[in-house]
Amino acid sequence: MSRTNRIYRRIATVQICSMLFLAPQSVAQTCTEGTNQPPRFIVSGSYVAFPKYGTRAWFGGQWVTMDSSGVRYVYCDAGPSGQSLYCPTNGGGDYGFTGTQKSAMNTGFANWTSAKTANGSNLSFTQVTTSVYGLSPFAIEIRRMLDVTMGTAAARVITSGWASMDYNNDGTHDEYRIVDAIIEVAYSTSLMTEMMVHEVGHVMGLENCAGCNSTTIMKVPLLSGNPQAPSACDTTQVLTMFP
Amino acid sequence: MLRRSVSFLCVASSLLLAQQNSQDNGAPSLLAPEADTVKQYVREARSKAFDVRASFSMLEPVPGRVGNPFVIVDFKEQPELPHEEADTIVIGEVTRVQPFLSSDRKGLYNEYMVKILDSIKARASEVIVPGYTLTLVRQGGTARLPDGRLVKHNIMHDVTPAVGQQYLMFLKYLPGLEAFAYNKLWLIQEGKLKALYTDDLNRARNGQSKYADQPVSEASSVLKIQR
Repeated sequence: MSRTNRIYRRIATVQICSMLFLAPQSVAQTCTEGTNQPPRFIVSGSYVAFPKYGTRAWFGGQWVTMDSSGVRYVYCDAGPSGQSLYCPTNGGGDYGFTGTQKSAMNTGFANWTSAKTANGSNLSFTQVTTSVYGLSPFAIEIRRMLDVTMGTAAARVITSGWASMDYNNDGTHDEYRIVDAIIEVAYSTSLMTEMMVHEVGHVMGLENCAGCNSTTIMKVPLLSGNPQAPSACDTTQVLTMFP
Repeated sequence: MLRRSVSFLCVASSLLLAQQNSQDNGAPSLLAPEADTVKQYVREARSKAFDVRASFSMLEPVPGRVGNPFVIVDFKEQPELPHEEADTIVIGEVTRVQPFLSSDRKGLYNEYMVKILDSIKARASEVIVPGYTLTLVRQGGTARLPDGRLVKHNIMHDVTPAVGQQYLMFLKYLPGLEAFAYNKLWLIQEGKLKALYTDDLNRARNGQSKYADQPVSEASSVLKIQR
């Protein structure tokens, strides 16, 4: 066999190996709940998730539909005892976070907005700098966690408002969805994007996954190496809640 | 086949309901103010510390139904024995749990009475010796109100101690509240440590834990050297 033929055969072998080992990555990924996909977050038979953009909810004695801003989020302070959130234009400010921290968390929200078509929710997350009181529902308020007793908590989500959904506009209840949430943050490290992507994952219907590998945003505990954006398998799971 | 499946589901759900009811029946009542042995200014400080600071109440009628707020908490990863962040480390038995309303009456917090069985690390200013009792405080809980209603302040994924159980406890003193917060608990069963937190459970599952299912004396010896 000539030297040229041997080189051609080597090239062909490399090509075949590339097809065998690299090609599967380009086809649809297999998602296995508990391994590379988190479970859905279901409480009393309802998904813990915001409603799909454009659907109407019965809230505060009237039908409300999410406007083009989608879910608004605002950085706030926690007010003194006996008082509510202190948001900008509501007696407070957003001094609990540095600009760098807010920028890192904004990346987390932006990464969820980027996934809105793929995950079927069509939900954008838009930062506002004024109080969301009165704009409610479809809002997330973010503040520092003040609870001194929560030990090593990194963050927590409070599902503050729920609404009855009517998907086919026939005036009857179809299911409950959350329409307001508070995210409290104790974290102050470089993982704030990963942390916020994870917390927003909760309000998009995803539950923690201790046994999962680090490809999913819902892997717990929160570690460096957790992704900063929903994976294909996270997205596939969210899609099942926004048919 | 369908009938068998349905009857199995009925039995399973009635068992779950029975379990839920038995837990609810055992829910402690709120303490009458005259029975409270804690100094009034300390009680006020503790109750204020647990204010919900929101326009809604966290108190959910039991059994739970959709429409009420609840909390999902996520923890940071910690070392197996996080001794540096703890100013007090004890082995203790939980003898009593008592729920209280926050001062804004929108939430609950639990006080856990812990009888100290062994003191591993102690704040110089506190009496942390075997035989004494210390108080842990934590947001959340279930309580029976004076009118007989049960309410729950639900914090999902939190690790909470159970009455009658023994734990290795990593604590932090809260001076204003004259009580302790806990950073980590290890359950002690038959003299061995049982993991409770996700990171410890993961390490135990992956065979990377030094202390899970090992005698508590091993962890205790290591901690006494490090203090």
